[in-house]
Amino acid sequence: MDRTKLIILSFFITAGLVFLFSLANKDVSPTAGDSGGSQTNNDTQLLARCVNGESRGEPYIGQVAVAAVILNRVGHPSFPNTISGVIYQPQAFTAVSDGQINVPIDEASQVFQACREAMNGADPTGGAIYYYNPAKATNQWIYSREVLKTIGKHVFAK
Amino acid sequence: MKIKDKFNDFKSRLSDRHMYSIVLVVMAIIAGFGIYQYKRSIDFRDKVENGYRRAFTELVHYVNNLDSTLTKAVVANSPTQLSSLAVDLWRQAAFAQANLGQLPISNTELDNTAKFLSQVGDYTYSLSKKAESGQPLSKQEVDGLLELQQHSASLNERLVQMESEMFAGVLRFGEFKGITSKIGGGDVETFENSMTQVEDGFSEYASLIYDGPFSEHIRDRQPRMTEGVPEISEDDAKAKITDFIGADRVASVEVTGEGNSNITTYACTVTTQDNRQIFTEVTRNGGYVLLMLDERQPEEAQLSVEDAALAARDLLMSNGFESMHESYYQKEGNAVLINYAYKQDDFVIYTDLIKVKVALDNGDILGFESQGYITNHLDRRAIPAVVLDETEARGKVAPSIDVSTVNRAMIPLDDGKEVFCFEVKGTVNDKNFLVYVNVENGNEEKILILLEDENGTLTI
Repeated sequence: MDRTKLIILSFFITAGLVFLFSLANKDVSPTAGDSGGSQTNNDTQLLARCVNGESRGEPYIGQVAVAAVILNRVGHPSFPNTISGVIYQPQAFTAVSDGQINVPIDEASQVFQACREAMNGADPTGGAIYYYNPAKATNQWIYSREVLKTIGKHVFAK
Repeated sequence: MKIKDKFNDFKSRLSDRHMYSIVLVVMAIIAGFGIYQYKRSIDFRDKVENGYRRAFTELVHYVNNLDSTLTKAVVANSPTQLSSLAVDLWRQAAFAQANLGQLPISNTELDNTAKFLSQVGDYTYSLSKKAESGQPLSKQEVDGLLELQQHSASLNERLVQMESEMFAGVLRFGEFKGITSKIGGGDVETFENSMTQVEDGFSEYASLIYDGPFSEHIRDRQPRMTEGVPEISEDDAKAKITDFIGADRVASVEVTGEGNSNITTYACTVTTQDNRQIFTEVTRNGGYVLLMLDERQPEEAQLSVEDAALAARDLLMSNGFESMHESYYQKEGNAVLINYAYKQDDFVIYTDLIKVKVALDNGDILGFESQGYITNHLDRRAIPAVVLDETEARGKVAPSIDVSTVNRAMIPLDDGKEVFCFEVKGTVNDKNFLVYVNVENGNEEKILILLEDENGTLTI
């Protein structure tokens, strides 16, 4: 009798552990912001989420620059024509593939302000459509692009 | 054999207490869970890959259509036919490009293919507009069309081949190497490689010059204010920026880099007295301030927008930007962004644009941007003869619009051309519009919607 009890007990314990594991694996699901603003505000929110994931720890100007690159891509013939098209383009931004794109950004935060700045036309990169961190970039191709400027840890190129 | 001893010991202890069955059950559950997760991941992979397949097959479909439309356009001889083909082409190219953007290939490798798809619609549209206005197409333009057709033909051929390889299972999306290589074996070509070969076909894709927003000559336009003006030194740039921000606010200025775009610049970082950093850029030629960004978030607003405008106007005057006209403003938190445009005679020149951001707590300038002004500004533009008068201009807009004011303005069109217009402001159903009517021929050149709320006015 004792053994049967043990088997049942261990069954529940393992099942419980497996269940916990699958819970822990669950990703952050997108949470709706409380703003519910206009279309442009939502665009800025999406932009801010991407910039937040891409350039955390960069100076303000570096965040404006990353936002400007995304917006420059929207207007460039070689890229999709919408902000979401550019951001969600496969393999374009690590912030999308690692799920940071789903972290809501407060509209009073610095990164949101940086994105607004870029939306208003500020472009410290001078028209860059690529950027990379020379300490991390592995793609050789990227080094062939004409460098426009270095801001913080990022090199901006076109 | 310490490990073996331990293992034997463990085994005997298990059998001592009759626990084999427990271990077995635990392992079965873990294995079951593993299989379940594995199956799920395969399901997800298939879902994602089906999305890619759909995007790819749609891309092939639209490129296919585009190719035949372009072949027809080459032989089209009437403006009507050409423009109807141009509309088709525009649509097909846009869909093709949207689908291309969904494929799991880093864009770095599809640069020119994407550009081709953007320009092909644009180019044909500009030709059809020209044809509609009665001008014949030049030999060069027809040749350009022919060349595009050759590119689209080879693109089409390559994509159709890839599509059959994909259906045959020899071509796979390489994103899931971990899973696929175990099942599929080594003999599959990855999608990424094949697309890179497609891109190679465009390596000789020449730059197209035409009247459209994606044309090379519009993208690479040289700025008017800095051309042929002497270069300044780093020290001059530092002095210039100290002057601009105000010597009493600046603690130190450092040149932190340079900008290499159409406008070459010195990037200067200013440290203020209260130990904040302000990023600025000064043009190398002529020493104009191109950009200034202060990240400070102002406290409680004390000033009105009018006060802020006075501060902004002061700044413009003291830096030699004269005859600037306030056009639109937008409040952002406790700051306000004001757009200034140059005014020549009665015309507001919207291309010569400067944006100034002013803090509403103490009136400090937080931001400044003069890209539009430096790229486009001319002191005196030749203003064409104004043929229409205001009443006639009012008559040119839709009768449903309740016109309130008529001003004069110069606006840029998508193709970079500058046109002088009457700016007719009016309302329909509580929506405000700006309609631009050409002063020479009464053409309706552009329509803008004005968004006005308590935070300011925006145009779209």
